[in-house]
Amino acid sequence: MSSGEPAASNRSAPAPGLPPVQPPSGRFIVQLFVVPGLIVLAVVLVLMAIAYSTSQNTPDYYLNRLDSENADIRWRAASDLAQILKRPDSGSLRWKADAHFALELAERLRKSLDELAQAEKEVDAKLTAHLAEMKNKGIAVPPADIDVHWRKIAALRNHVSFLASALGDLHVPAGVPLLAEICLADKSPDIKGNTLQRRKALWSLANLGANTRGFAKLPSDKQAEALEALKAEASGATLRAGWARTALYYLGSPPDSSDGVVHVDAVLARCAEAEDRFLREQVAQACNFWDGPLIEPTLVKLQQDDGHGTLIHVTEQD
Amino acid sequence: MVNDPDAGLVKRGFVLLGVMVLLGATVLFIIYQGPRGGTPIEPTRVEDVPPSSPGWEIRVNAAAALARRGSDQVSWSVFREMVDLPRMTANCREQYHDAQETAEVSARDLVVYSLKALAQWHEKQRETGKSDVPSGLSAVYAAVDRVAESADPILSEQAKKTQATFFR
Repeated sequence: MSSGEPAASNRSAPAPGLPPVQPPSGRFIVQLFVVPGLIVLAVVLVLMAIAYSTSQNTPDYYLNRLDSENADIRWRAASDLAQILKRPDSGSLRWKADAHFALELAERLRKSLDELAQAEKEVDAKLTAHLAEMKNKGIAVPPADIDVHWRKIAALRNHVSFLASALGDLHVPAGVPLLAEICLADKSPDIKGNTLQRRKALWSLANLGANTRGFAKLPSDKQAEALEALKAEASGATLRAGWARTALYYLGSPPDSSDGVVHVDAVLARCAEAEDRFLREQVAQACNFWDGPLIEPTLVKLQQDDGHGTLIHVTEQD
Repeated sequence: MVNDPDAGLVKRGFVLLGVMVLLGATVLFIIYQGPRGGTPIEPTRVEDVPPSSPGWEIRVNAAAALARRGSDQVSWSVFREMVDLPRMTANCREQYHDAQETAEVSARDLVVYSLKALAQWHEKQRETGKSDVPSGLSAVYAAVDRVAESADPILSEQAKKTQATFFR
């Protein structure tokens, strides 16, 4: 036993030149860990509060980015917005039930459609000149070369497709007149591009029908807000007023004037006469989501369809 | 008594051989037994069924949409094709399919879709106080009865739900 005593006294006694070792007190532990932890927590909370108060997740923020001159910013905005609009209502009602946002998107689609029409004309003129030149030289132009010319306007076409699809995801059917215009546009020099665009627009129109039905299930304050905004826009002879009147008509609040109101059943009836078989099939599907006096006669006609016309296969590469 | 050390080994070998033969015979019996029970449920081979005439996708969607609306103008001849699994499989085989969805799965989904639309037609008719069986619908009933006996549980379950809405 005597041999252990010197060892114990060695452990407690400080080595020469060093201060005595003492166990840390509770106060020391608090100073070392809890206080810095509280400071970090406070900083994080302040940053979160600042981020929340200056949140850029608003419809106007996306609309501004869609107007950007920079194509990358436009595409990022389109990609983000497409993801937001595909969320369930709980996470996207701020956008889907906003009448002003719907009309603003429609304005942008109108502008993009006009730009696309102009670009189509320019490409068609160049292509026609190129084909004539090749013909004079006796060189046959392969279809792949023709596709290369049309691919130049693919970005613009994709932007139109995005805006059409976004309008179809909303509960406010302000996009009906423009989607109808795309569905009915059967004259275009770019046959493949236009065929695909018509099919996408008809799909969006069907989707919009389902979402318009969902408007009645929205909270009453959201419904009232949207209808009030549409009524404020519905007077006048502008295109935008016509879009607002069409939306009011389909939301069960008929406007005073029916000028510019586009009837979806009439649009579907005309699309049922298209030569594109796939488009006629889509019409039959879209009739599930819209009502009107022409829906049943259109379906009766389609259930006797003999499969006439063409079935253009358009791939993603096109 | 002299113990032959190989006698047990030979005996065990014969027992093992017998077990193997029995196992093989059982497997062969199961393979060549064919479907159990009397009449096969789907006697028609898909290869023997011609596909519908062009435009069947349009007719199918239009007839289903009319049925969902409870319309009196539903074409029951189109509907009879819609609940005919071999016919729908033949139709789907003509279409393009990717690796994820086969013609058989597409055809089954189409038949289930048609059965649901048929049930909705009956419910809508009932809501308006109608319970007449139009000409052509009896043939659809018979076709649905055959689907209800299908070995596919998804098909038979939906067919039974649809049968419960019939006017009979």
